[in-house]
Amino acid sequence: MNHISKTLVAAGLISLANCSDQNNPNNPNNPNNPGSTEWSIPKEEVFDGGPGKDGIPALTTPLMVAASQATYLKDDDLVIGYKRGNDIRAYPHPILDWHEIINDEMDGHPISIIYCPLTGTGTGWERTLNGKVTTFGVSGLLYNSNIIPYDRLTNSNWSQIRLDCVNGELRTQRVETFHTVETTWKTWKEMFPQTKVVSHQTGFSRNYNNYPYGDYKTNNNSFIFPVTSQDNRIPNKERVLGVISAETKDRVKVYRLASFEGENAVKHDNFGSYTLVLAGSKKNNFLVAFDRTLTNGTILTFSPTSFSQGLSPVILSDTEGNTWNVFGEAVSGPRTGQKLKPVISFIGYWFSWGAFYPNPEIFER
Amino acid sequence: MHVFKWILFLIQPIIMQHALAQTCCSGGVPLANNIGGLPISVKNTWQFSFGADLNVLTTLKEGTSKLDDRSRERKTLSLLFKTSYSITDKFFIDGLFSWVQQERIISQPTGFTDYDQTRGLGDAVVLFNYNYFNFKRVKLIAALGPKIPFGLSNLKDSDGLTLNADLQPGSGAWDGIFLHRIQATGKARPSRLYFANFTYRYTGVNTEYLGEQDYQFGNELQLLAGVADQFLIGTALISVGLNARYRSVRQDKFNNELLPNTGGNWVFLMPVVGWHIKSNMILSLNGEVPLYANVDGTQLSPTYRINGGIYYSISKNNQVKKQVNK
Repeated sequence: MNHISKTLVAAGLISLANCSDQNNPNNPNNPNNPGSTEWSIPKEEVFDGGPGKDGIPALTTPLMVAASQATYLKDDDLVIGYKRGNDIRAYPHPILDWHEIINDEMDGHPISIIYCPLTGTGTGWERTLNGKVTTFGVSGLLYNSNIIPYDRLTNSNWSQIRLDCVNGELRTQRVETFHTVETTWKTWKEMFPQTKVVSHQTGFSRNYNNYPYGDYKTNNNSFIFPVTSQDNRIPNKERVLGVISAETKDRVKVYRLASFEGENAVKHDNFGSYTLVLAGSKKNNFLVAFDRTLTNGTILTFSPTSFSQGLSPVILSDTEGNTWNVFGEAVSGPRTGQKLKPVISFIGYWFSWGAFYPNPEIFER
Repeated sequence: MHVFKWILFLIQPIIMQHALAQTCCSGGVPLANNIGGLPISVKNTWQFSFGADLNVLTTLKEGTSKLDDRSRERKTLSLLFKTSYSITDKFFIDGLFSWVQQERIISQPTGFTDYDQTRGLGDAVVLFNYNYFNFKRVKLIAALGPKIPFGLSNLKDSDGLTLNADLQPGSGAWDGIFLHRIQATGKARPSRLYFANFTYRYTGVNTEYLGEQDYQFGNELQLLAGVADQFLIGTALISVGLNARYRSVRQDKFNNELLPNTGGNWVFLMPVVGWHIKSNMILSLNGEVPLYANVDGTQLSPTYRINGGIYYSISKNNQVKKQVNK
């Protein structure tokens, strides 16, 4: 009887022992804590997202397959496309919804695709920091509902939409970005049939056919975390291209995909020091921006190319007789091989631009 | 009748330990899992119990499918103090107070690990119980009461960053709880007890979540049914039972919009054992494993639960002791 009693007491209270935990994360020596408590953004507006640091597992050098093998993708799934030389790759939202970050190498060059499902923002980041290659992981923290990646080199936390380090050893350092194209899988594979695409064989057990956030991307009232300011001029979840000012980097002008009618439309605009050309199509679901002032000071004037022979990556022609592709590369004409200067721009939900860059200018034409 | 009351004394702590729960996508605020549980007793009886509850979630589910991923683990350890006072033979008040420790453990196959922990005073529950029907071997009891948000719901980590709702020891909201139970003893074997509980929790809104946001855990319905009996093993009086629990939780809401990956339906199997070590003292231990889970979206779902505790009663008029001595 005494034996049973002791056993029951021990069993019933066994978990009490857990109360005297030796690995309290509040211990500043915990290696998982960021090295600095100073933040460039209001700390009281940085929230734990729930899954925890690396609870959403970033992918590193995932298996790539040919477009024809990516049967898990539907035509209207969005992808983030990148072209580096002849290496062309697509990073699908259905994968990024679950992993948010893909660390990859293209032709030996280390890159990261950072995607936040809650702000709908996809960006291409260089992952060489101060001469050292790193990978980025998902910190599990959010600011204005936007992902805060961390680098595994210094454990510093970064803001995706601000494009800078906001906490840790590298605080205030800006990230180097590269130009990506966000569009549908259908448009991308028609533009680049030779593309490679991330396989659904990621090594993680996830249902990539299932969007994990319910009606979030279409419900303008649905938020999962606080956003400091909201601007009602455009529906919250409308996807717009934001261009970040070159000088102060604290102003944004947004371009609505919906205003680019037809197969391919081109518009010119000025924003700060940028003389912009924008090419896009609501129907084909892409919108990109370049600076049309060349390094020698020449300002080109553009018109859209025709897609009468089917979708093509060549979207711009200019008055000099050049044609340019969706990555701003001259593919024919006297400037073949040259590149238009990319501008810092990416697509995101409207509310996210207003939250990070209050009262953004809206292109009205 | 006296024997019947003692059977209840033995069994009810076990019956009631899983009457309610917060959303299962997380370790959750565990208080409601342990609400009630103290037996119907005679007038002027004080009852106390102290126990520990460990809830472990490592099973990642999408709908009814189990995903091959054990990289995330949530553990919720609760220390629970319950007390009850019988104002009359039919009317009694339960109180439940908690201290909660939440742990979140990440251990990715890629080698990345993380650990977070919070601890603190949890919420409390007060239930007003009324045994409104007694006929032969059947009793019907109804209970109503609030869950009181004593626990903190705005804890921050060591960097001063506010943690997610499911890592907070408190919910920050008043809930309303209704509980109804029916119980009957066996005809041929009076020590056998059959029971079924219906519980509904109407959740309130935490209006100070992450600053000034509204967060509401999903409303919850539970049905618990089981059978228990007692046996003499040597000189020890041992009660054993087997319960099944159905639990249905609506999705949580953030600023009145449904939150994905919260809510679901579960069926659990719960073996229980209790040992009456003195006339007014019981040790109990139970485990719980899920038989079925259908979660909304993709969530961590309960893997197992262990609950143990010790119960003690003091009757002002010593009726309980007398009954036992008879």
